[in-house]
Amino acid sequence: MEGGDWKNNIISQLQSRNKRETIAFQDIITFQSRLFDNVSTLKNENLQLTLLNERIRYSNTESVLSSGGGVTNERIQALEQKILSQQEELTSMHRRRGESAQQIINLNARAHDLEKNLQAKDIIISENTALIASLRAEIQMYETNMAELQGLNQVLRDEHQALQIAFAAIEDKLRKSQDENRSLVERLIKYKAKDADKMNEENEHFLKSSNPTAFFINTFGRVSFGKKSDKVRKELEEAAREGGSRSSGGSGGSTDDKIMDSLPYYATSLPTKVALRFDAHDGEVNAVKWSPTDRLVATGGADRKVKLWDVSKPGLIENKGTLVGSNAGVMSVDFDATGVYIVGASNDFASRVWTVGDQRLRHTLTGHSGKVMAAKFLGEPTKVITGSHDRTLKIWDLRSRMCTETKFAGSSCNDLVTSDGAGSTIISGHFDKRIRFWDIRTEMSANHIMLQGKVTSLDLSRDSNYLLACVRDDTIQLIDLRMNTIVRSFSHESFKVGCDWSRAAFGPVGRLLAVGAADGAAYVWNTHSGRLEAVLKDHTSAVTAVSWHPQSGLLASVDRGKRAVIWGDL
Amino acid sequence: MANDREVLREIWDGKLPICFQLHQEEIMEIQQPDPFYVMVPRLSYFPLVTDKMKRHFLRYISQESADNEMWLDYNGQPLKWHYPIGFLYDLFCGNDPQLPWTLTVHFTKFPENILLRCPNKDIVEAHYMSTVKEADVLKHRGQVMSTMQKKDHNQLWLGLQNDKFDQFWAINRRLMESHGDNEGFKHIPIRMYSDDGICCQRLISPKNNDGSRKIIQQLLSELYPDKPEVKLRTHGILIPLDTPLQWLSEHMSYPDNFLHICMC
Repeated sequence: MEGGDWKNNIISQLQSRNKRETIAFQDIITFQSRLFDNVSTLKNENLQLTLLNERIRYSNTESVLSSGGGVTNERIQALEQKILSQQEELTSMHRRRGESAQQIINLNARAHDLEKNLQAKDIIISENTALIASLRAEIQMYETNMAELQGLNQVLRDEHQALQIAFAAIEDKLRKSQDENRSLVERLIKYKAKDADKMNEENEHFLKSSNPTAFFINTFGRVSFGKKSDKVRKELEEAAREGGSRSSGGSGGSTDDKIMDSLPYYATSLPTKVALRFDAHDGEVNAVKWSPTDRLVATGGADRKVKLWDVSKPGLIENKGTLVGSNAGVMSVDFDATGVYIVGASNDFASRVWTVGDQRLRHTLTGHSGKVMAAKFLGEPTKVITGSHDRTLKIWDLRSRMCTETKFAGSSCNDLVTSDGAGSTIISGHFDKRIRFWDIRTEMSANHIMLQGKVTSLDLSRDSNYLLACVRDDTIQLIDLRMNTIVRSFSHESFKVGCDWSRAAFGPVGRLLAVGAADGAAYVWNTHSGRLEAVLKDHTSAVTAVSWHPQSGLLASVDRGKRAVIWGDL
Repeated sequence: MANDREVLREIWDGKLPICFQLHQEEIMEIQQPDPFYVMVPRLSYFPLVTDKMKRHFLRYISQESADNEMWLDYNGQPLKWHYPIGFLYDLFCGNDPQLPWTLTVHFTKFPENILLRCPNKDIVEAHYMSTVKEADVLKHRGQVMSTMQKKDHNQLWLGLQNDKFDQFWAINRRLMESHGDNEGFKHIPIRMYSDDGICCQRLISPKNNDGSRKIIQQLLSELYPDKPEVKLRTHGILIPLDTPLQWLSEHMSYPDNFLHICMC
C-alpha cells in the first residue's frame, strides 16, 4: 500500500472519467436499446397480425357475412365448415342406406330362388323314392314270374321227356308191327303164290283133261274163272271189306287201296236215313270233315270252334273235344292223311293246326291278309296249303312254321284241292269263275278252266282223274283232268247253291257225289249216270257242307242253323 | 500486489457509449437503419461486443455482402480489433473526447493490408492468450502461466468475455505477483504508442539502477530524452509522473497484462 499523490490523482481521474463516460450514458443507452428491442418485436408482431388479417380477409370474401372483426368471421367459418362436414356425412349415410336396401332386395330374391330350388329338389326326391318303390315291386314281380316260368319250364321239360320216352316206345311198337306186317304180307304172298301154283297145276290138269287151246290162252292171260277162281274172288272181296274197316294209318294199306281202286263196282251203300242229328255249334256250321281213321267227324263253325264228334257208339253222338284258338269263324277243316293233325282255316286271316289226340293247338299260320277259305294238308303232314280271299295261296312248312311259298292267284280262292299224295299239283277254285291248276314249283298257274259262275268248292276223286266243282250258277261240274274238259254237269230245278262256300264231295269210291242245297237238302247224284239218286232232306236251313266217310259210306252234313246230321247206317 | 481494489474496480467498470452507423453506401433497403447505441466495456475487444449490432445491420445490406467480414472505422481509419476498445478510444479521441463515440460499420471493401481478419471469437481468444503469455514471460519468465492449468486460462478468458471482475481477478492476481524474491516483476510489459499509432516495446525493468522503484518520469527520460513535455495517457486518464512502474503495471494493465500507453 503505497500512498502518494499520484495514486489519489489516478483514482480521482478514474472516477471522473467514469462519471463522465459511463454513468452519463449508461441509462440512456440501455433505455435506447430497450426501445430498440421493443420496436423490433412490435414490428414483428405487426407483420404477423397483418398476415393473419390478410388470411382472414381472404377467407371471408367467400362467405356472405363480411363484417369486420376477424374473430366473428373465424367463428362463422368454423361453424360453416362443421355444417359442410355434417352435410357430407349425411349424404354418405343416405347413400349407404340405399346400398343396404339394394342388398336386402338382392338377398331376398336369392333366398326365394333357393327356396324354390329346394322345393323342386324335394319333389324330385319324392318322385324318385316312389319310382324306386315301384321298380322294386316290379323286380319282385319279375322274380316271381321268372320262378314260375322256370317251374313251368321244368314241368314242360319233364313232360317232353315223358313224351319222348312214350314216343320211343311207340316207335318201337310201330317198328315191331311193321315187321310183323311185312312178315305177314310175305307169308300171304307165299300162300297166294302157293295157291296160284296150285291153281295153275289144276288148270293144267283141267286143260290137260279137257281143252288144250284154252290151256294156252290161260297160260298167257290170267283170267280167273272157275270154282276155285270164284272162291278166290270171294276171299278177295272179304279181304277188301275187312281192309276198308281197318284203320289205314299209312301202314301197308297200299295193297288194299289198289284192290279197291281196281273194283269200280264196289257197292257203296246209299245213305237214306238219318242216323244222328245234333247241334254242333252256336252259330252257322261252315265245315265238316270225317277223319280218315276212326269214326271221328270234325265240324267248324262261326263260333270260332272246331268240334270233334265220335260216332263209334251206335245211336249216340259224343263230343270228343273242342279245338279252340281261332279268333273268328272257321271256314274249313281238313284232317291229314294220318288223322293225327287237323287244320282249320279261319276268318281271322290265319289257319291253325291242332293235334286230334290231345286237342292242343300246335301251329298258327298267319300271313294272309284276307279270310282264309280253305286249308289242306299237302301230302305229308308237314306241309299245309291255304287259299284266301287276299287272292293268294300260301304253302306253309310246319317244321319251320313259315310260309315257304306264296302263289298269286289274282282272285279270291274259295276252295282248293291237292292232287296225289306228294301234292305236286294244286287245283284252286276262284271267285273269278276260274279253276286254276298250279305246279307246286312254279309261281304262275299252269292251266286254268273257265266256268259259268263263281266256284264255291272243289273236290277231287280218289283216282285223281275227275274234279268236282260246285258252281254258283247252281250246277255241279264234273271235269276230266286228263282231258281238261267238262265231262258232265249236274243240276236240278230245285237245287240252289246255298252260299259262296258251299262244299260238294265225292263219295268214297267216286260213284256218288253229294252237295248241300239252299233249301236244307243234300242232293246225291250218280257220277257215272248223272242221275239224281237221292234228296236227303232234314235240315231247316241251308246246308253249307257235306262230307263222306272214306270207308263206311256215312254222310255228314251241316247247315247254317247249328245243325249237323249224319246219314247212313251205323 | 494488486491490492488497491478500488483502483481495479474503477478501471474494470469503465464503459464507453458507442454509436454504430452503417456506411451510407451499403444501405440497400429503402428504410434508413437506426444507429445502434451500445455501452461497451473499455477493457473488451470489438469482436466480442458487436453481435447484436451486426444482426441489426444485416437487414439493411445487400445479400452478397452479408457473408463478408465486418470492419469498423473512425473517421476513415480502420480500427484494429486486437487492441482493447478503451485503448483505441484513447488513441483516436484522447485529446478531444467525443461521446458517444461514433463508428461506421462496413461490410464491403475489407482493407486487407491494414486489418487482420477475425472470423470468429476463438481468434480473439488465441490472440489474447498469447499476449498474456508474452507478458508473463517478461514478468516471470513464463513460469506462472506455465504452471497454471488449462481451466485457469479458460477462466481468465471467460471472466474477461462475460465481464466478471472476481472471476477474472482470481486468476489474474497470480499473474500480478512478484517474481521470485524480487519485489516486482522481472521486466515490465509495456507498449508505448505515439500519435500516429507506431508502437514501441522495450525491455524495461521496474528497478532503477540503484534498486529503487522506477517512476514514470525516469522511464520517460530513459526512453525519450528529447521530449520532456510528453504526457502519457491510459485508460482515459493522464498518469502522474511520479507513479511507480511496478504499481502501474500491477494495477493499470489491461486484461492482457500489458500497459498500453499513448503519448500525447
